[in-house]
Amino acid sequence: MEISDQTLIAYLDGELPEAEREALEAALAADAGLAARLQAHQALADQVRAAFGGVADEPVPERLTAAVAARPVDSGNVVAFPSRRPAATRLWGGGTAIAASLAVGVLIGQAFLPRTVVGAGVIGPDMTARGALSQALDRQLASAPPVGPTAVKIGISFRSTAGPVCRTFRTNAVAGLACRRGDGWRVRMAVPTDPQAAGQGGYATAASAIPPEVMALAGSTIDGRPFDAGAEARAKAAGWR
Amino acid sequence: MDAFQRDLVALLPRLRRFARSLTRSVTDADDLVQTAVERGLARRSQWRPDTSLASWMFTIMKHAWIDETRSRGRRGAVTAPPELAEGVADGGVADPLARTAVERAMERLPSDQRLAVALVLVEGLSYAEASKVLEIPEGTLTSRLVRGRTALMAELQGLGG
Repeated sequence: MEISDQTLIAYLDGELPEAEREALEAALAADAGLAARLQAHQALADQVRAAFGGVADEPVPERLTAAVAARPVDSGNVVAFPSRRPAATRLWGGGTAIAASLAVGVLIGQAFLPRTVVGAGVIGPDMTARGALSQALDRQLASAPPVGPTAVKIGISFRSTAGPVCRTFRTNAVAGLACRRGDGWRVRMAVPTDPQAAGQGGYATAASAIPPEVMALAGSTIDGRPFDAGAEARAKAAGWR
Repeated sequence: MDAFQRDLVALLPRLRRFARSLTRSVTDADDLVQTAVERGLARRSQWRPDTSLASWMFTIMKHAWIDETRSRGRRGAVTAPPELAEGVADGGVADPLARTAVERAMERLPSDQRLAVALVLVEGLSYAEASKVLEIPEGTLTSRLVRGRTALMAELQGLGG
């Protein structure tokens, strides 16, 4: 009976079904040539494992651990609130009911911006960043975050595949992604955040949490890697060009 | 760091090992891991917590490695002739020359065979899990695995003979 390399390899890898295993072991006991073939496959497997096995015991280079850590995170007992689909209650303050069209909660590209978002002051009807958001995008470094509940938080900064530098951000009202355009910033995605979540159940808002939809857009837009602290500082010095 | 990041840090040794079995140098391997880590963090919302984070990262690494080898102009199958008179020591893999022989033999494998061997032999994934990582049917995985391992055997036996 001709036993294939595939059968021998599956046996070594523990992938051979029970019935076939017993038949093979019987054949091995009876056939020295077959046993020698198995031995050769075993030796090869041992050799390959030994060649690379030690790598997992090496100390991990600092730059890799740093690459994992280089993200804004939730700390300690802070809970990341998911970006919520707003109910028909006010989000922005001022008692304004949210239009049904806002129920989706995500504003992308040229989508119509309701007055309520404009009223929050940070995003214009042409999707440009305004006020405190614009200032934060121009001046703030993720490595030097400001304090205070009304501060704008900057997440990651990176070069997009289209060319401009982009930055993720979060304010009391909205979180999103903005990319450099001319002397200003174009907001490519804005997701309402929920200021009412603050203080509920003993948890504070994750003030630095960027919603998953925004990170997904960032991930699909990014060219290479997010800026580390040095690259971010250099980009700022170059006017984010 | 949050739980996801801590889990990712704990995976780094395995990711480095997988990368080292695919690439030509330690630097290339760590560059590959860094690229994969950054993509994994950017796409973290796509990972389902009831699945293996290691397998998810291995899939990201596979794509990153294939992108990288394509952009370097290689076509996968390396057909360089075996070097002659290498003076390679036999057997014992504690010998650094013998390790290099395995690495060189791996480099000569076509990329799809190299991936199969790395995931099953080096990383110890089951056939089912490895075929999920590589996004291929299990039958395809086993045939690439067998071809890769018999090619490695022939190469390494030839050098030692």
